[in-house]
Amino acid sequence: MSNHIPPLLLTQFLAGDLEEPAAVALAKHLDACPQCALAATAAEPLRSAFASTVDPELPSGLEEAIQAAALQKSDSTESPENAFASTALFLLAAVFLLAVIVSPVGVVNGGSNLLAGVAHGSESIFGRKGQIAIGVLLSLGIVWGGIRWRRRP
Amino acid sequence: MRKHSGFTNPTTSSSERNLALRLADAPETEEKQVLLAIAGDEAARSWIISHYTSPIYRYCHRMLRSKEDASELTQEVLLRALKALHRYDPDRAFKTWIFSIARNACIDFYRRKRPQISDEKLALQHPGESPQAEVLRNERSARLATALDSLEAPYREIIILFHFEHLKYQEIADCLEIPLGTVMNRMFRARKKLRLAYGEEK
Repeated sequence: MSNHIPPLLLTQFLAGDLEEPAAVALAKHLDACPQCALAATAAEPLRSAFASTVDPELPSGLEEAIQAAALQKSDSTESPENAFASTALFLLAAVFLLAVIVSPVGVVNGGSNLLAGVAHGSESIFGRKGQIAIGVLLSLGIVWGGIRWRRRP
Repeated sequence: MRKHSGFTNPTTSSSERNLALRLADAPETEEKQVLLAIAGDEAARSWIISHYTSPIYRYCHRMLRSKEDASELTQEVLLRALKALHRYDPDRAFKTWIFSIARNACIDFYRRKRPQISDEKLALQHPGESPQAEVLRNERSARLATALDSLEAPYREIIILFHFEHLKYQEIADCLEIPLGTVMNRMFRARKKLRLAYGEEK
């Protein structure tokens, strides 16, 4: 949209009287055009109320407390390297677990050599019970990792 | 003294090289501070806290209507953001990203701290009892706050983001992770409800 929004259209927009496609087009224009955005602010029926709003006062010491807490936690911040390492460990654990699961039913014979190698190698080192215990621990680790992964920042 | 990660190290990954290139091109603005913070610069991390404590507190206060809860959540949001900085996409507006964290934190807060009170009930609490009203000094402002308090959370949230925190429509869509059309429909309904509530308060 190269022109500015006519006042009548702006009033209809602010009143919510436009269909969605037109409203979206106008919203995009308002995002990009400071002049029209200013006109929209001026045409807002509650403009004086918005303008008179007093912001909640920031509690004294809050910013300092956050600065201190951030400094304390900066050592435990997850770096990209740590994130890469945890992802790699997660994948390794998944491969190991898959190998342990498919090993007893003999799928490995016709399947991946990697899985067969992991399954037989770990069984000869830890024994079947040890292998299952490791598998269970890894499962718990995967569940825990999955929960952490799902947690939004 | 600023603590940097090794941008000039030849063994740095491609993402670090991209970050270094972006940093070299970035003007002396928020973008540069954020890129420096991603690179591990303590001063830039501190800058983010200084710059965003107030807006995040305002947002949390208006959403939760409690000074104590807003303080607690503001700290949580900023620490979460700093911890997750490596996951921030520099192509996205930082303000949008950090407000989406604040929003998620508010939702988590409702679930964690007030499981016995639904969000809808929170929105329908008697407006006269709102702690927010206590900090608003003039009548018109208090009336608007009261009208805002009477809105359901999704409508209150969209009004706060647009009219108080001055996010653009597309930024709100990014923050709430909904299409722009949905933002507009919700905004229209929110404005109508707010005007109605404000009118009834007169």
